[in-house]
Amino acid sequence: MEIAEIRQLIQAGIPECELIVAGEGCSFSVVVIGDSFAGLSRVKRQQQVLATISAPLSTGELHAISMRVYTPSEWELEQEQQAAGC
Amino acid sequence: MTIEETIRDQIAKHPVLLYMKGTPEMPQCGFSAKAVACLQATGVPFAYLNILAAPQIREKLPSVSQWPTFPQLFVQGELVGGSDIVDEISQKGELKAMLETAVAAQPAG
Repeated sequence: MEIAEIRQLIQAGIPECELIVAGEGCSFSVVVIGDSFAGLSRVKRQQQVLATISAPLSTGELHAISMRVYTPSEWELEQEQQAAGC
Repeated sequence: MTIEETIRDQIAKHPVLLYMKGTPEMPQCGFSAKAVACLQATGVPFAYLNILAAPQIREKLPSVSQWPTFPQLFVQGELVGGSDIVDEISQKGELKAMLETAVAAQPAG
């Protein structure tokens, strides 16, 4: 699969999210940032994202996807922490 | 028991249960290996099921748990998530307490 296809599928299912997608073939890593994730557990958040790519996952076209899901404020905090090296 | 009942029974019986590819000694996938490493680092005992040796469970679990990939970690009967979530809560230092609470809450016997 292509990065653009993954991006399109996730954005169709979760409008107005910000996406960082890396990878190629059947293995990708994504960071999904959206306001709509506020108040949801980690597992619920990832279930929402996984639901958008269930078709390629079930055919095996997409095999491995590694994922982090944040709200905009969590993402900001995460980047500050990464920059601080902790 | 149907396969689905078997799965629900397994999840209910074990306070910490990892459905994985391979075994903790010999994981057959990098994601399963990562989840096992996080669990082992806590020192808390956990149960596992090798889904490569249980094709019916491998086929049925995703629809029961609403989670399409493996590994899958269940703690106190609830899906915690896959390897990314296990890794994240491990890095945040929350995994050990979560597992200890689960094991302590296990009914005696």
